[in-house]
Amino acid sequence: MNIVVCVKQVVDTEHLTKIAGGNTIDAPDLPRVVNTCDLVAVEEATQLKEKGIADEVIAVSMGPPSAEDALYRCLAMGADRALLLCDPAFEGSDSHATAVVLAKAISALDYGLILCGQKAFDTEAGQVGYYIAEMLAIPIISGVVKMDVRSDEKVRLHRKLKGAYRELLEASLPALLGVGPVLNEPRYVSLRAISRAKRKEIKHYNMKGLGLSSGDVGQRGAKTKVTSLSRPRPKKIFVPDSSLSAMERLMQVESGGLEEKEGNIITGSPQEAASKLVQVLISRKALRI
Amino acid sequence: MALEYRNMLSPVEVGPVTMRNRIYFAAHATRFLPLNAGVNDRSIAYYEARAKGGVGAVVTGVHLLGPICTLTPRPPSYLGDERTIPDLKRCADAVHKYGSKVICQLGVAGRLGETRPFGGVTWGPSPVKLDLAPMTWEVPYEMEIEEIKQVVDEYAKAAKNVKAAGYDGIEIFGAGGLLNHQFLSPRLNLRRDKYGGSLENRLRLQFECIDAVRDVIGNDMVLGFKMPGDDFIEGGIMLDEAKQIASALEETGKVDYLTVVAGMYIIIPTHVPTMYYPLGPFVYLASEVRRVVKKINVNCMARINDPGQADKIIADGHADMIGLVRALIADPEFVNKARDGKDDEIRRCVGCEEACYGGYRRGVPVSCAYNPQAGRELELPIVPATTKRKIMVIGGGVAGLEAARVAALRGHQVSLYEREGELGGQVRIAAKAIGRLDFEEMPRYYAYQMKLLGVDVHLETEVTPEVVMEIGPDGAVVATGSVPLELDVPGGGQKNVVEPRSVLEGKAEVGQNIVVVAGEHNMQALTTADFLAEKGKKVQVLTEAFYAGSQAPLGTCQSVYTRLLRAGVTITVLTAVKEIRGDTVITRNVFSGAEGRIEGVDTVVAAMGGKANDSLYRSLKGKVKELYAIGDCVQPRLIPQATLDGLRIGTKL
Repeated sequence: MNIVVCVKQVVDTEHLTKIAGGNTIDAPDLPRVVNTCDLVAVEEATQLKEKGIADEVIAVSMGPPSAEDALYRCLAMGADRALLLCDPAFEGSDSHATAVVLAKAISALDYGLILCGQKAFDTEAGQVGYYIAEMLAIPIISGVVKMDVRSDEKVRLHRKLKGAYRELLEASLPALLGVGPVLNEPRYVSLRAISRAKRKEIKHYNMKGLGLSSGDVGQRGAKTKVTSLSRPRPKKIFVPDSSLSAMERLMQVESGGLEEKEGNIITGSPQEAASKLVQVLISRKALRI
Repeated sequence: MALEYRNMLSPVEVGPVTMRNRIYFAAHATRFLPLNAGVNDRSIAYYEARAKGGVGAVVTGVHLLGPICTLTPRPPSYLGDERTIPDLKRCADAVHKYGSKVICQLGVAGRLGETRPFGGVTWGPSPVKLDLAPMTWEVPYEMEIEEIKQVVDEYAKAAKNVKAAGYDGIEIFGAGGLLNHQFLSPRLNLRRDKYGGSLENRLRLQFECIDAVRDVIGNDMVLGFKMPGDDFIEGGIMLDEAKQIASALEETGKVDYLTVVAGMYIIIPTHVPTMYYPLGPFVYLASEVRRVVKKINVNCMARINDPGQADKIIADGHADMIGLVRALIADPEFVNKARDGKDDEIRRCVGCEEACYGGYRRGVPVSCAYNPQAGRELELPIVPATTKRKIMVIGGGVAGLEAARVAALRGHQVSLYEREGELGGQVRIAAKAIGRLDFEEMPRYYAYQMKLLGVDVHLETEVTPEVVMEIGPDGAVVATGSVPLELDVPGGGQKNVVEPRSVLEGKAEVGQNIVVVAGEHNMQALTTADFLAEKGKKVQVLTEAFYAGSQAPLGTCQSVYTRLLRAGVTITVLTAVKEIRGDTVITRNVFSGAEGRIEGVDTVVAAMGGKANDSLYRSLKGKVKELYAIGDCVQPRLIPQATLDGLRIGTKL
């Protein structure tokens, strides 16, 4: 059984301090890395090969020419072959358009399992895997935190639910699995290993080579569009009630927002309570008699 | 770069420049030179130390512009005068040398002008009375239109010189109750011409100043605007209006950052939050403004003293940069220490205000209660000792601790002896009062320094002259502090007369009806009264002075008074205690001589201050090669004086 791993080269979000401009966080001078979850996918595929369950691991990426660096890392980790789907027409792709390209390339391969990172840490859309599976008419399960390939026909896995809950599932192969960051610990590869990997060839495919046309890909193939990207809003923080007087606002600040306001629970029989309430409303100038 | 504090230590773009991290030394008046107009050697050394300490930027100022009144002679380094450029340039160079940026804060005092020394006139938008004890000012003269234009011209003139000096930018002080704020605030601006009334009109002066400065400095320099987030006075600016102000300032397209702060100089803790306030109490103002501001940076300030706190503020998106003042006065190396994982070495600001703002308000140049070197970088540098000597310090209060720290830092072999089981002396006791727990940071800092510097610390050790002579140090520093001074009146020795230290330590027996005699004029009497009121006691404070706590830092005074008066504590001034007879306190008015009686008094707390505990010092004279006495055992004073004694001796040994 061969395993196809989808890989994306992303901006290193650890060092992100601002929005580059326009509607993207990307900027040419920012450092790039392989998306964390994708490394996990490569590692999983390599381990399956080492256990004798998989035959060949094929890494596939859609990206600019610089994405070759990402693929060399995958080859150094244990992938046997790599494909770079690269064409200026692919620019401006959203998740759908990206999936169109990847699915087309993958459909020409012989695979028993497709592994993807469950989402990329730049856009965090997490949609591409779903689109690919739909296009290839295979099942998809994302959020995989543990997996056990039983045979060429079946895989058993744990899927993460909210909190520490896990769902135990069995899927028939071929399938697409979206893996989470805790599935394994991607192996470290030295610079030397990466440069040795550069002796292997990365096969390039452009739009025509994949048999696609410009209407299918890039902006035209996109089903969504980013209209604006604004900087993150501040987290919620305690703000004193603006209907209070200046002194009361300051008292609230001074007490760290814990100052108890006057108790506003009115007790008593209905007549007593009504009478008290009217008095409170008059004193607060909400009612004039 | 440490993984921790990644947010605080990340670089940030501020208009045309990049600052190396999110921390800047915000502008604050220092009294290092008259009228704070300009810079001199003392202030340059002060700013340089913080630049060296790793801050992203230093903002010098506020440099007050323009004539404060028609008769005031121009101060020597007044920024509108070209002769100021060499000094400004030296300052810029000193800060740049260490990789920090330098910004110049410009402002006009308006009604806050200190004219009493000169006998002049203060001016403002409208003749409005606004005071809060003890902050009082004359009602200002209502400025005429051509005088408003003069103000704008003064900004432009100063900007030209600041640019020539090589500064990276300018910050317009539009908050803090200064003139720009006076025009912005509907409480102080009642004008009916185009400079008053609607928000648009009240913004007019701000836009004119921004335009004038931007025209002069061009687009390669930063322009910031410090703006009010909430005046905290009735009829003043509140947060909703502040958000509109922020949007309007952003829309000029000429402002690179806003710093959002609180208050109007009336309620001092709104711009210098006291120890009674939680940390970062006004960060929310910046945060709320940042929600509506789309592109430009928004900075926050006030009572931020810890790198973890600062990092979280940035991480949570409340501000783009954080202005630290007291945190950096207390420790110029705050940023470097955070970066190097040396958090425990940071000398954190405790918010006592004793030497910084408290000193400032009394006309004394700014320093720090337990960093007496702040503001004295030139006068008292700490340099390695020429000969390593054996130094014995007796007394583990702040005076002794500072002396031991400095002596050890300079390379001496230091041993420290303390009678109690813990270091800290009176500061530890002060920490027991309500809301004064931050004082514990002082002994914590020192205890860690003693360990770091290899000072041989002996706790629970009483030192006699024999002990000293047996040890035979090259130098002995006696720092044995003070004991409570008695109330010297008939009945002052009764069993029901106690003193503040034992009350705060929980050692004194106290009844329900309490009279606190405020003989000392700082915080001891008031915090003890607060402590007892919190326990539900009925407390009356008597003082012979015009007001109790007349020497206490003014902001802290306002805070503790607010607590006391809300709790129903009565404060009777100009009243001396003549005699205590059983449970009756007989009083006498200090001016009229009229007598009074307070009956049913269970306990009298005699807060008379200290009496020098100098017996060890006196008995050692002539018996030790070099003998020194520092701190309260020379004369009971306050924390800043004790630590300054320690620093002086430590550098001298």
